[in-house]
Amino acid sequence: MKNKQKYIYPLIAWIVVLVIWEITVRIFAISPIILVPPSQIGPVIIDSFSVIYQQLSFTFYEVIIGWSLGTLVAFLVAVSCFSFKSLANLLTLAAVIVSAVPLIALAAILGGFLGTGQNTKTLLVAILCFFPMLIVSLSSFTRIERSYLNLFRTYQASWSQRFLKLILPQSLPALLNTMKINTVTALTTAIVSEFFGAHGGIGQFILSRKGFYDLPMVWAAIFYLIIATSIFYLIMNMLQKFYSHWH
Amino acid sequence: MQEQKSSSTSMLVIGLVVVVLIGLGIVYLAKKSPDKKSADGKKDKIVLQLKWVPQAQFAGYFVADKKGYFADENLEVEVRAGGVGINPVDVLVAGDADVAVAWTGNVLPAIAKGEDIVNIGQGFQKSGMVLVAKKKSGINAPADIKSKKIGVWAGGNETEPFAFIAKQGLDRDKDVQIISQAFDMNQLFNDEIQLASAMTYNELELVYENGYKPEDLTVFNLDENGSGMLQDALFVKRDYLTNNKDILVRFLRASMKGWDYAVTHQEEAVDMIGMDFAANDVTARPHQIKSMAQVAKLTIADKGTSEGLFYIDQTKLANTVSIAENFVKEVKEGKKIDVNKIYTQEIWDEARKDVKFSDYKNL
Repeated sequence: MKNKQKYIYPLIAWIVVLVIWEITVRIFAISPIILVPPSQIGPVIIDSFSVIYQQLSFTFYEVIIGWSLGTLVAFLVAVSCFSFKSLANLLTLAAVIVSAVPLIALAAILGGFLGTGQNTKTLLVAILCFFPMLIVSLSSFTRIERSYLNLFRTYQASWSQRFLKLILPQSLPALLNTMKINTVTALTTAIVSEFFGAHGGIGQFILSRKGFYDLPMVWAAIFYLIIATSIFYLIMNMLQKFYSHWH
Repeated sequence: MQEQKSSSTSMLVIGLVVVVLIGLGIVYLAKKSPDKKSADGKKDKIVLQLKWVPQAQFAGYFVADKKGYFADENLEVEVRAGGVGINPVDVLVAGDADVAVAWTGNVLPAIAKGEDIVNIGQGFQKSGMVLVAKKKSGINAPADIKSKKIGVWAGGNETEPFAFIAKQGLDRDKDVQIISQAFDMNQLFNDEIQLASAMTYNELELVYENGYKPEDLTVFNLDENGSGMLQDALFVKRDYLTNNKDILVRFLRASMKGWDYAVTHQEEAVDMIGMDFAANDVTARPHQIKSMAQVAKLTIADKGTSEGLFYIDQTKLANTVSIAENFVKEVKEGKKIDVNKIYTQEIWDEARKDVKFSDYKNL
C-alpha cells in the first residue's frame, strides 16, 4: 500500500500537469514558438531518440570525463597536502576565492586560446568540479575530532593507517555529497559552455533548434537530458545511501 | 492510515493549486503586452528590442533618442539590448516588445510556423553577412567548402550560411561539418573552422585588425552570392500594427531622422550609443567607427538612397523569401509564405512625408 502510494501520487501529479499544460496551450492559443503542448512533444521524443542520443553522448563525454578528472585530482591534491596545516589553509583560502568567481565565465575566455572543442569543455567541467571537491576534502580531512586522532597516535598508527581507517571513512559522507552535487555542476557547465561555440553537444543543439523555433525538438532534448541527468545523479545517490547504510 | 490518506489528498490539492497557478502564470506571460503610456502618462510608450548588444549596428535609434527625435514625436522609447540567448522574434511574439529589430532570415521560420509578423521598415537594404576563409585552407570558390568545417552563430543566425551551403548543392548535415561559432573570430584564427560567419561591420573588420590582409582571405559576400537575406528590419505583430498605426508612423519618422543623422555624422553617432569603449576589441571606439561606416553603407544602399531610408524593396524581400523557401528546409517544410502579407509600405509612406533625407551621394 505504502509503495503504491509512493508511485501513484507523483504519477497522478505528472498526468495532471501534462493535461493542464495541454489544455492551457490550446484554450489560450499560445504561440507555437513560445510553448508547445505535450501532445506535440510526445511523438518527437519517440522519433528523435537517435539524433538526440548522438548530441547527448557528446555532452556526457565532457561531463563524465571532466567530473571524474576534477574530482580525482582535487582528492589527490587534498590527500597530499592536508597534513601540512599552513599549506592546507592556504589552498583552502585560494580555492574559496576562486570559487567565488563565476567560473562559467571562463567558457567564453577559454574558447579563445584553447578552442571550442570537446576537450576544452571537458577541462572546464573538471575545473568547476575541482574547487568544491578540494575545499570539502581539505576541510573534512583537517576536521577530524582530536580525541580520535590522539587515540590513533597512542597506538602509533602509521600515516596510511590513520588516513584509511580514520580520516577517509569520517570524510566520505561529505565527499560523496560533494560528488553528487558536482554532477549537476558538471552538466550545467558543459551545457552552458556549449552556448559559447561548440563542435557538438546537447547545449548547442538546443540553441540551434530553438533558433528555428523547433520547440518540440527542444523539449524532447530537455526530456532526454532530464533522464540522463537523473540516472547520473541517482547512481551517486545510491552510492551515498549504500555507504551510509553499510557504515 | 486514514490520517495519512487525508494528508496525501491535501497534498494533491495543494499540488493542483500550484499547477493551476503556474498555468495561469504562463498564460499571463504569453498574453501580456508592455505598458502603453510613459510613467507621467503623457507620452506613448514603445519598447524596441534590438537584435544584439548596443553597437554601431543600431546607432540611428540611439541618435533618435539622444537628439530628442522620439520625444518630438511624443514617444518614450525603451531600447532593450539583445545578447546571447535573446531572440528578438521570441521577445516580440511573447509580447515583451512592441517593435523588434530582426533579421528576415530569423523571422521567416517563425512566419512559416504561423506567426503573423509584419515588416514596417527595412533598416539595412542588403545583407551584411559574409563567410570568410583563409586562402591557405584551400577555399577559393564556393564549391571548395565541401567537407569543410563551417562556423555559424547558433540561435537564429544560421539561415543565410545554411542557404549558402544548400545553394552549392551540399547537404549541411552530411557534406560539411557545422560548428557553433563563438562571438570572436578565434576559431578561424586557430584553424578550428575553415569558413567563418562574419558581418561586414564587425567580425570581418576584426579579422583585418588581427593582421590578415584581404589577399590572404576568401570572402563570400552572401548578398552577391544569392544567399543573403534582408537584415535589421523593424518587425511588429499584426495586431499591434492594426491598433497602433499612428504610434508606428511617429516611431518610424523619428528613426528615419535618427538614421539620417547617424549616417551623415558617423563619429558623433558612435559616441551617442552609450558604449564604454573600454576594451581593446570590437567594443573599442576606433572599431565602432569603422563599423559605423559599413553600417551606413548597408543603410543607404540601393533604394535606401533612391527612395529613402527604411524603404521596403519588394523585389528584394520576395527574393529573400524565395531563397529561404528554396534553400532552408525549416522554411521549406513550413507554411507557404505570401510576401505581400509579411510587410506593409503604409507606415513608411506616411512617415516619409515629413522627412527630408540628406544627400548620401558624397558619403
